Amino acid sequence: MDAGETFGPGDATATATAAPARDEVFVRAVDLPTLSLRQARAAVGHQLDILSPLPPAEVVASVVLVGPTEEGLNRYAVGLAPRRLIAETPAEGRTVTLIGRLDGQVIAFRFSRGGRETGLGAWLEIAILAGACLAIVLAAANLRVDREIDAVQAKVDAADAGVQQKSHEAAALARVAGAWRVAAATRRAGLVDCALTSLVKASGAPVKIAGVALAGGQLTVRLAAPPTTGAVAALKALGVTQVAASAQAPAGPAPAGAAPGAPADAAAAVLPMQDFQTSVAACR
Amino acid sequence: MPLTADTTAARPTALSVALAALAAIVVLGLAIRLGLQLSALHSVGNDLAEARRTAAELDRTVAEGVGAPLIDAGAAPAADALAARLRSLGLVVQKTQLVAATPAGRGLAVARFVVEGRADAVSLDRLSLWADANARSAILEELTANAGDDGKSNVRIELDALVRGLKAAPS
Repeated sequence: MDAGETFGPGDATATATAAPARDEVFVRAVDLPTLSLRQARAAVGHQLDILSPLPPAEVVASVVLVGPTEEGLNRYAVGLAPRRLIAETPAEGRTVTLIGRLDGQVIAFRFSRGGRETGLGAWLEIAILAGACLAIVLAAANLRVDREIDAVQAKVDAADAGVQQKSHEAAALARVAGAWRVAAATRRAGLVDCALTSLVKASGAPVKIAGVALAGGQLTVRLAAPPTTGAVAALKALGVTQVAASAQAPAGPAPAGAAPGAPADAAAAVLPMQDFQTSVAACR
Repeated sequence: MPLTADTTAARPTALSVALAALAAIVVLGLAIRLGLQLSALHSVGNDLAEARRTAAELDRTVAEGVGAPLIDAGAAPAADALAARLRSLGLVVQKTQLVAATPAGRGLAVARFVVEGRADAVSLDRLSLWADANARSAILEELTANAGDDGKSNVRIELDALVRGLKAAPS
């Protein structure tokens, strides 16, 4: 059967049957229709002021199921002991066991040692249970967050690898784009059209060209025939300047009047200059 | 035999207190660890967001590329496509060679072509205007023309062009 319990004052609703008190415990028998010790305790608690010979505030009660009655009810023995006695009785733990007698039958009643101690114990039990539950929840949360961190870290690693690859790609692209922009700015193809137009404009007539060389943003044109002085001046005004024959000049036919087989520098020294040069910045 | 109501052993208060203290310590430890973990998770999340932002910026940079492609090598070899373009300008293309290629983002490559052929002055002028009009996609790196007896010149062109879909980069 279950343990005895301490009760305080309450409403009296159950019927009580008096029994002789023996030892330190005053015992009463109570017939109740329930087998539930909890309900029996509650009923006794409500009737404590009726059942107790002492003021309810000064007693503690313990309930023990004795057995069924002939009327189909269940008989409980209610042990009532002075609260002072319980407090003064040496005992192990938080309970005091006292012997009582009901109709000559020995009954061991278990009394809790005072309300405050009972409250502390209950609170400790609740705290332990709550702590255990909270610990389980926290441990689960720890595991979950651990996994989440691992997953996010894996994503970070992948993203970092991607960023590194893209960085290399972007850096290579930046180098290519920079070189492309520089080349595009200095190597304007329109320079050929500009130079040819300038030649026609300066000569006032179609010009025969022996060769054209465009490299590094510089255009060199070798005329097939020596230009007139006026044409040279006009070309200079248009940004096309006369230059001595050089290695960068077009490898076309030698300027008119050059001796066959003569060295190039010698020819450049004695022959009229037919090479003209211009650049993107100069050509107008 | 006496009836007894003492069926549940009472736990000593000291043991209960010890258990409660133990539970409190465990809970506190787990709570502190959870706090640290959440902080780490937040930090890692920030790292991830930063990495994704950087990746997006780099994607945008790479997507901008160098310029628009002049030639799409998906349908025909790039050298052949360039030769066809030059022929349409009036040049007689004898040889077109792709000599180098450098990746330029968005599936593009900067390709260096060397073209040999023959052209008159008008064709050369047209070539220069065409290259100038496509300056974002092509750069006339070098042009050498030497007049022949028939009024046409032997021409050698080095042209850099942006090509889409160029598979392998020649050395």
